[in-house]
Amino acid sequence: MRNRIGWAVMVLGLAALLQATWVPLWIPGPGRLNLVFLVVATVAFLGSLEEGLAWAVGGGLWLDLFSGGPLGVSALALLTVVPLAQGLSRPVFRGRLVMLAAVATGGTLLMEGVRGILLAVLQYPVDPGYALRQVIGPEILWNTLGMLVLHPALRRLRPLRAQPALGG
Amino acid sequence: MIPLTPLQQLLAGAGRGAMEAFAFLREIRDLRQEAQRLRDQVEELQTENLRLQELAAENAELRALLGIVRENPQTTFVAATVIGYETDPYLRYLILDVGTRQGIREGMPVITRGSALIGRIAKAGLNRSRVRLLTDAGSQVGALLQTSRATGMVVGQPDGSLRLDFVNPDEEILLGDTVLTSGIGGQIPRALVIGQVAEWPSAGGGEPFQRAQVRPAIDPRRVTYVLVITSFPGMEPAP
Repeated sequence: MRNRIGWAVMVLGLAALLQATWVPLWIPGPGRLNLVFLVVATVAFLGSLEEGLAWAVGGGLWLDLFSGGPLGVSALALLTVVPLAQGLSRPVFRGRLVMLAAVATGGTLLMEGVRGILLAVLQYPVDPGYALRQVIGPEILWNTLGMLVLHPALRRLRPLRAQPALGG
Repeated sequence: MIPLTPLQQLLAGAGRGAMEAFAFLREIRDLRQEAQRLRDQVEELQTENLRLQELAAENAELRALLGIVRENPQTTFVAATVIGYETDPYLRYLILDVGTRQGIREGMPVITRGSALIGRIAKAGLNRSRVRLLTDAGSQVGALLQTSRATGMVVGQPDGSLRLDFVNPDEEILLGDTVLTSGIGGQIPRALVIGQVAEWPSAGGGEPFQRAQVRPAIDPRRVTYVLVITSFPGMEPAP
């Protein structure tokens, strides 16, 4: 148990560190690949609900550690991704690339939408038109591409759940 | 009687031919090795060249900052390196490798080459601090136009642009005019560069103030080294 927590903290910390250093240098715009999102979405897609929620909170806190924004916003935004990834991870869909793309697309839309709303509620000025055009749109493309490219490596973070036996 | 001479000539000729062929093959092998060695050397020199270019750019940036320090002997600075960028796409911050241990406090202005203001310290930890960039939504700095001497405020917008606002209608805003800090409030020194007026001011239309877009002097993503101004002549204590 302790090993698994340590592993999660390490992986999410590394993803957040890269997100705050390398990713902005390679992808200039505000809408860019979100490595922590990819990790959390993959774990939520392949693992259990509880595990997904725990990774979302951990990943969000790591992201907020490198942000000037209020603590907890990223964690709350990432939490919304977990039920979606879970919903799309039925055994019949699992392993299909189109479902991974759906998780990346829908998850990004949810996460950045919720983040924008939370910031607006906390009196941070957010322009919805700009958010859609310059943040959410490009980020959906990057995350979907990233999910498809990085999925073989990301799935090693969490082995597939045992699939229920079919038939009687 | 065996005709020895022609045979000898033939064999000697064949021997020489074989030797030349061997020599040729050896030469090819040597040339291949030489070509490989030269290719390796070119790769090494290219890498070295890139490293030197990087060092030259770093050197130029540091020299520019050193120039600022020398030109302002009454101002105190703390040099810092940018070690991180904002992870929230709606916000614009930088992370520096200096904090309260090095004398950094909230509200201190952060500048880079060309005395360009990039933002102010928003949060200071023990060994690291966050800079709220001018382009962050809600960031506000008192501004002065270099040529027309009009004053106003430069306000960060949610889309990451800068807007000059609160300029009286009877004052003149010139396209391309340099926007400087006004120094009003005593928290930021006067005449730090903010950017340039990038468009004609919005026409009156009953609005009490004029406004115009400002092109920032510096792209914060291209900044590696900065100076935090810890004190300057005429500095007011933070409220």
